[in-house]
Amino acid sequence: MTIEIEDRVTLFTDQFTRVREEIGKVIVGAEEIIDGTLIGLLAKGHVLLEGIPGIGKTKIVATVADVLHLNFSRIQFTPDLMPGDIVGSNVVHETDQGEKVLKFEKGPIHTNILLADEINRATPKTQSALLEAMQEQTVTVGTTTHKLDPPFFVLATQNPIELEGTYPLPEAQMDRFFYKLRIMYPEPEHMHEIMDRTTKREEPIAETVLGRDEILAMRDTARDIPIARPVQDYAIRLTLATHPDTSHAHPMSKQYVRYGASPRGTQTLVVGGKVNALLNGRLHVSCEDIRSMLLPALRHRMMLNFEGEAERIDTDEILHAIMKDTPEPAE
Amino acid sequence: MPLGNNSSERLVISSLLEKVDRQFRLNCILDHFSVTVCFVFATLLTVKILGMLVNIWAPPTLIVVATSAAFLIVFLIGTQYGARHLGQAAAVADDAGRLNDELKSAYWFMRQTHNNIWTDAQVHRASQTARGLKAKRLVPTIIPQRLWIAAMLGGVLVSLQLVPPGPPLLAFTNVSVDPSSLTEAQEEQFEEIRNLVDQAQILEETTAEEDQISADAQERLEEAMRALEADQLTMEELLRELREAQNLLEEGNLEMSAMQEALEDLARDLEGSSELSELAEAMKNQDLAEAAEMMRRLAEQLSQMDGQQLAEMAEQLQQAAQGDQASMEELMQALQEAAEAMSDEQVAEAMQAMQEAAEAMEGMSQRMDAQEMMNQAAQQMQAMQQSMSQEQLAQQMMSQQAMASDQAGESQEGAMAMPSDEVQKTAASGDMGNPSQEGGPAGHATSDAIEDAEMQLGAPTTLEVQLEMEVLADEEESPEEAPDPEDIFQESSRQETARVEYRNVRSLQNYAEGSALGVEQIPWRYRNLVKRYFLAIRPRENQ
Repeated sequence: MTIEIEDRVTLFTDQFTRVREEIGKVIVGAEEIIDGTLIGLLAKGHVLLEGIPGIGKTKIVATVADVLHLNFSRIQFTPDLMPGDIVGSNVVHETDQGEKVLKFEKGPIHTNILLADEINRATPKTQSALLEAMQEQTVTVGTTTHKLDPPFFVLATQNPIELEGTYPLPEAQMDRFFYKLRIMYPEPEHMHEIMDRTTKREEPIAETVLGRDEILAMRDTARDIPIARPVQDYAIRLTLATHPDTSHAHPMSKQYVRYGASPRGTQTLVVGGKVNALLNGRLHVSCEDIRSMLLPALRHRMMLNFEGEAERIDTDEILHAIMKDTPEPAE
Repeated sequence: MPLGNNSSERLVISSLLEKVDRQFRLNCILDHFSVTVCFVFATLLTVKILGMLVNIWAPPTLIVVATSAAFLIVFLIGTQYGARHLGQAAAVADDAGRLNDELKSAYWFMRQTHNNIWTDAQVHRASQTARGLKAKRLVPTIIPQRLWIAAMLGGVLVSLQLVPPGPPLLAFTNVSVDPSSLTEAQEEQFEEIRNLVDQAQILEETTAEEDQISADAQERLEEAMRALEADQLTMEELLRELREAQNLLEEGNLEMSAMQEALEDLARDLEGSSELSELAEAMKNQDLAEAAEMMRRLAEQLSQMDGQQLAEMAEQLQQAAQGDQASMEELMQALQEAAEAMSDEQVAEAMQAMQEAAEAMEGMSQRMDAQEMMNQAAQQMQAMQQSMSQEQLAQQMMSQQAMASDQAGESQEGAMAMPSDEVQKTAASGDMGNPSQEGGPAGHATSDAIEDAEMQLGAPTTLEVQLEMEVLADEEESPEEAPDPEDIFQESSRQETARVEYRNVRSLQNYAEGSALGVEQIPWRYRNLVKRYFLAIRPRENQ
């Protein structure tokens, strides 16, 4: 039985490595983003990618979809996009017998991988259309609830600098994203590589390496990884440190945070830690795994207070301070 | 491949963790030991250095070491040998071996009752990792660097022990008095006091009194001398001991005063008889030895007296014996018996009673002589105290003047012209040191210090005389009002004739005043006695 587990772990690691390498053929210098995206996928979460235009957000998502043998849809969010345009709607359909009946036409959300491009350009009403799908993996239209095929994985992008004509995501929506990944501008050496790959006649193409069943199996494997109570306690303490009103509150949280991360944030830390442990070939979650998940898992789950906003405090600064000052369990 | 979570794998992990725990505890013990040793050596070194600079009480080395060792043992028992925390050892091992919480997680899974194949697999992996680990590599024995510091401190301490003992480098007021610091004159005074108290003790022993004051005083003096020789006495303590001994010696003065008063009353009562007039005169002069001799002569003459003379004498003696004098009860009783025997014309009994009265008077005479010697000893003590106080004051004054001159850069002459009465007496002459021996050895006790002071600070001014004249002038104008000390001090300043710093004068004057009067030094249990003494010696209204 131990051999079986070891095989599962090895298989998980190999498959993940294959996907990563395949994506790496197209995407240059975004290993953390790729890993984060895949971890979000394997942890049954959704990922929000944030970055300035033109740095490859959409390309990353498209490449991930190419590598995985899954259904892929893309929705370009605009202010006039309606919820029905996403989830689908009942339309009048005429049968062969000439009867007119209402038939549900599935929207683009009925897929495995959904690219919600520039999600903050849609109105909150439309953004909220994603809520049920992201959390419950179902879509309700009228009185009928439609179950989405697993895996359902939303990859949303947003531009942080264009504020005109945008609608910031509501807190509930933000909380449903497993990770918020920030894509930074590529390094000069990576830029050379990007130029070399994309300015020739033929661009590199990523092959499909992973199917639906394999992904679901990997998801199950990730969830099976055990976590010791002291490490779980460490994750909880880190989350509680973001709350300004608890006894574990960090001084920076007390000063700059209005609301801390939700329990969903702790879940993200633990599940993400499990995937990270597997990627490192371990059968247990370590504090290091938890720490590596802290920034992408909690940065979008904290709401700054007026002072924090006024001083333009980045939640990453607070999380770094929390990470530094929260001791690991002594036993 | 066996199932991961079996007992042997658990044993491997537990065994490693126990070894790590032992190593960890050993390092903790070494660390605490080094802290304790550093503390002990630092304490001893501090005490030693302080002891070289100033005279302080130093705890014996053994006590410091034993106390620290006891604290260390109790601390180690409390912290190191409590409940074993293998989880802590697992955390230490993980940290030291960069195991990413593998042993910590495994140890936690091992303690759980509900495990699954994943936890078993994790424990299996951890046991394999543990097999390849050595506890001593994970947690090597660390000799704390503090031990080197402790060794260095110990070396310095041993070096200082080799330095020959000497007087403190910094002399403050609370300086310990070692035998060598007593001047020759003071030592002579001490010897004289001892002799006087010895003689008083011999006389007191002949009177067979129960309360022998001189013995108590002698004992106190001997104790003070022993402490002085053992270098365990400060100047203040020595002065206090001398005052206590002096108070003891002067305790008998109250009784002597009452006795003298009673003798005067007795003499007045006996003056009426022509046969007893000489006896009365001797009593009046407090010459009890002579009075006893006369009493014996009178006893021998009794057989030659007629009945009328006997009756006359009996009446006088009866009248004299009526007094209620507790201090000479024996004499009164003898006189009473003699008077009664004379009244009954029983000459033999009367002679016997008069012989007893003579013996009682001799005893009283010896007690008075003993008290006289004790008073002399007390005076010597008083002189010695003054001498030592003045010497101490002179030293303090010189140090203050030196500091003041360093700070202000003022002239030495101006700085010296400031002392109060007491200070001036101290600096100017040693006469006050021993009133009973003017110009005697006590006067030279501070001569060296005074000469040095004069050389450094200049000659004293005539401020004392000036102040006295001002006081007299004030008294003539308003004799009923006592001069205000503040006026005395400020007058010269107002007249712009003063060349002194009155701020310093004030503090020195206060110190000298308290030292000279010594009133505050009367122990509370003797205050009532002192009050009674002064009430007993106060002038009578009819005198």
